[in-house]
Amino acid sequence: MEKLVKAEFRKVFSTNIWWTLLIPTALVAFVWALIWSAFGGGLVDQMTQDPDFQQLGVNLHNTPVSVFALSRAINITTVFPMLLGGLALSTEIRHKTLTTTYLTAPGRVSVLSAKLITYTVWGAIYGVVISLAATGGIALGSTAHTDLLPDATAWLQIAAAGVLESVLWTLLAVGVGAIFGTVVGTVITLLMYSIVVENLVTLVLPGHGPGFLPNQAGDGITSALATQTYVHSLPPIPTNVHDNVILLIQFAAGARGVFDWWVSALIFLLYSGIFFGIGWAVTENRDVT
Amino acid sequence: MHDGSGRITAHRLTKQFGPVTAVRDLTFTVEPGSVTGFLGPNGAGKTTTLRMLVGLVRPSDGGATINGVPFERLSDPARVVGAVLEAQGFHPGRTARNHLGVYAAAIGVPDQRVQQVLQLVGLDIAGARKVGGFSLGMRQRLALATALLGDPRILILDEPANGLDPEGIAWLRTFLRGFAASGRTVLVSSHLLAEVEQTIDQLVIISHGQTMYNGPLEDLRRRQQSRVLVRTANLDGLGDALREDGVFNFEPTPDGRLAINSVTGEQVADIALRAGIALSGVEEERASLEQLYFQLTASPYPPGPHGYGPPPGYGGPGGYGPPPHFAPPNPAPPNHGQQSGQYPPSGQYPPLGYTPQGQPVRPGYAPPDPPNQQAGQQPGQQPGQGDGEGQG
Repeated sequence: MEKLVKAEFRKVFSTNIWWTLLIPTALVAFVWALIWSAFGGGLVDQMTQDPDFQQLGVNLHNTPVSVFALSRAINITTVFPMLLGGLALSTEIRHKTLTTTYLTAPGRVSVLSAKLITYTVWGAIYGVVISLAATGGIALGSTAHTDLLPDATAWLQIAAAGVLESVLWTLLAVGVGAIFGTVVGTVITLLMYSIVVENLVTLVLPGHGPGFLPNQAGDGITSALATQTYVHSLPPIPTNVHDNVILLIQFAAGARGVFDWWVSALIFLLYSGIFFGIGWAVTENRDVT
Repeated sequence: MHDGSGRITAHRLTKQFGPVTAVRDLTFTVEPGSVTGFLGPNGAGKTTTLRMLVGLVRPSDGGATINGVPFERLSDPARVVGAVLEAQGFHPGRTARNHLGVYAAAIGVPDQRVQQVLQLVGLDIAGARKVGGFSLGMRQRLALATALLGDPRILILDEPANGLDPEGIAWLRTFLRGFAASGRTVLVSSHLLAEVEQTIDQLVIISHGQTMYNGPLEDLRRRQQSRVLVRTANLDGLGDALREDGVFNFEPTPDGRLAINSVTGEQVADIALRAGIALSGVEEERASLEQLYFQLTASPYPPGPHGYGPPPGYGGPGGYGPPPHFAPPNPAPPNHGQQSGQYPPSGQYPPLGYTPQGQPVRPGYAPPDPPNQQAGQQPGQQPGQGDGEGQG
């Protein structure tokens, strides 16, 4: 198995795709976090200077508003490890290297196991880069508002959640790529679904409905943590407005309808398992012609 | 575990692609120490069969073994069998050396082996170049290098001559002969017998997914029969004289001659002399191996869904068509030696549209231009002789 994992890593390192995807990954995570955290800081300034808002007696300073920027930056950037995973098998089918891959491996199961291990590592590498770049983004975007940054524990939780989300997206996409067997079909389907289709469906689903969908569940790993972190930092919320305030915070985090972070993680793990499993079964039985 | 014999067996292999039966009940054995040709027209099921041998395509029925076990049960497959298959690909952005490095890692051979196989196939100067810029011939060499990485005992090649220049083909021939001479196994497919005739010693011929012949090339050569074509003003008289001498196997040809099977020219001349019949021309001819191959693979059916049909010039009225007794029995004969070996009742030898000799036949199976196959051809000459260096 180590032999095949080594071969899989050589496959990735001997083409350009890993770094041509990693550069925009870091850039998007950084810029997205920078813009949102700067925007959040400006918004806090504006609101605290507003006389009407001051009458509410709510102090938004010293609340970690930037966690929303962090989680949003992570969620949008996971499309890149998703693409990397989607290409894992579909490029092998496209360039017909799968023939040689099968001829040099003791069974197809071992090939897919090696890909599972390899792309778990790659998903984690991308996740670390995403979390670090997004952290850099909120750090730079909050230079005027360092009081809006999260504490070390909250940051570590969200950053680690970002790594987990990245790994699971990568594996889900490996499965989708295996099912479709074509590069174009895989990429279009993954992008269309995660960026367009699900966001539209989410708008009309009530309650926790969106939290059951793959993209929202995946995003929920970080966005539920961000929501939770932020709510804990607030003074006790009066019960008569509690639900609406929570909704507002969830909206800010892009976490409408999501469950707790660990429930979201389990739901998303289930999706990743299902897609990887179907991809596995399809690959196991498909004739290579 | 496998038995290390180097033997390949196919037992009643059958593959159904939807409504199309690509391979039907195919049984043959490939022994080590020899180069076995796997021949059949395009669409006969060669590629599908080879892919079933190495587990890439799952048989609908029957099975194949390599070293006594199915390919999937080999724990180190690339150290047992190397395959150069038609649709084998490369990532265009990978260099030749990196491509080999990937699979050297997968097989578990040291990286020095990459340089060795590159040198072996004559690609070492192109090792650092991306495969996307490779010619077809270079890709074939790289595919062979990949197959050799694990130093396998068995080599399976699907139409390896495609894209190779004559020099490359000659090199490949020498290489395969040497590989087999060291006691290892080579199975090489082709749709042209002439292309591999000088390389192979064993032969499996398939047509329409069925085995038509499985045995030594020498046995097939021995089945080449001669016949005599004579021209005479007294056809009936000669016929009577032949019958009196116990020769019954003859028939008139469309150009007015008499074709007499299984006799020599001298015998015919003697018979005619005794009967007092003047002969104005006696010509002996031998069926070429290529013609025998064609008889074995000629379609007894109309062109099927594979898109295979005899080239233009065959089978038409007055043209060449295999007589009924040439039709491959259905199901396939268990082994060679079942064909009648008789000549078709036609004087048009060699058949129209089929003259491989004299010029290298390129993939694509295009019948030569009509002027090439008119009179003046020596029907007895075997393809691959003379200047047919590029065909093997």
